[in-house]
Amino acid sequence: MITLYVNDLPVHVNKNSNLQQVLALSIQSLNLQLDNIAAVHNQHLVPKSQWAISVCNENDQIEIFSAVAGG
Amino acid sequence: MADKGMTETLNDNQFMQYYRQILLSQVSEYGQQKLLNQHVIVVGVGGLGCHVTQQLTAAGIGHIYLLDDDLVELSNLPRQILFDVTSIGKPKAICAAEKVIAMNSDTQVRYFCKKFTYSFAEELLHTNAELQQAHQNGQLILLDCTDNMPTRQLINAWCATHFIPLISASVAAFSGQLLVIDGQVAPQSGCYHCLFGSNANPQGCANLGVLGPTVATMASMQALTTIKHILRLDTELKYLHIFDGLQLSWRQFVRHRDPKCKSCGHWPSQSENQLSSAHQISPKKVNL
Repeated sequence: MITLYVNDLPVHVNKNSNLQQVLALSIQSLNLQLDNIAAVHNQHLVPKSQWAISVCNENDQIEIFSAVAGG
Repeated sequence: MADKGMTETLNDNQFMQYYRQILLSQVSEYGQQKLLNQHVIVVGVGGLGCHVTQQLTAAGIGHIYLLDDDLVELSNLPRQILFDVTSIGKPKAICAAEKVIAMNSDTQVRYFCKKFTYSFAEELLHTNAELQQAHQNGQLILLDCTDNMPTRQLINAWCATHFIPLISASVAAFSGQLLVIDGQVAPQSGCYHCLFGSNANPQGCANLGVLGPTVATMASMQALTTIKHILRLDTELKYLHIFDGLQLSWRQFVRHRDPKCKSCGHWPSQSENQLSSAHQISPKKVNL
């Protein structure tokens, strides 16, 4: 297991987990839907098509936030 | 040497009017001329659109195109500052145009009481010779001030197709997001669709609520970003800027192009600057 941080909170996941897996695990507690979010991995936004191939490491910082569309 | 499509020097009155802008070395008389020759399409004349149009008109943007099919409602008044009680029930694009036309005679304001559709945007670009010329001269920018994701995706796709720089701002509750999308200058940072897919369906101000000053903050940043982009003062093209109105804080994250994006897939892999500097560097490499 490794520890990484999702929106500043520690999360324990299996070694070699990818971003897609970490997001799927995290969004329920954040009350968000996968379609509506963007994900930041160590300060870099990761396009959705790359989530499954972005491998997470110990102490990585992940930010999840929702799209804002109002004007 | 003047840029393509630039008019002659400022007259005395313009020099006085824009003196405090011209005083900035990054703007100067030449920069003010660029602003006066710029064409800006504002899509959505709601909270963001009202503020941004007012600021860009005051700054001396030469040509503004307002696009909105909505009518003014009472609930708009706390944040849509170009409207008052006499505007209720009238088209937003007309009311806003009437207000800003009176602000600055240097700004030519055109309005369209239309919803943004791909076909209307095509018609606007291809039937307006002045706009078409501005596009060819690199003097056209579009500002997304709309309130829903499908329209944002449509605007992004149209701008990406035509390589029109897009400055996107959004706001709801206490959150705001701002980004500059330019397929010629920063293709590696991708487009709006690289960031949020077509299936995203976030809630807007109608559900989440919003305060006028939060909208004004995002609109001011959008207007400032627009002026900086026109004057090539950009330093933050690669970022998504996120505003938290409760904490009064900004965060920046680096954007990346989605290699599978359907909207910007035709963009080059490198910017024009990168390509030209690569061309300049390669002979030196050969000499070594």
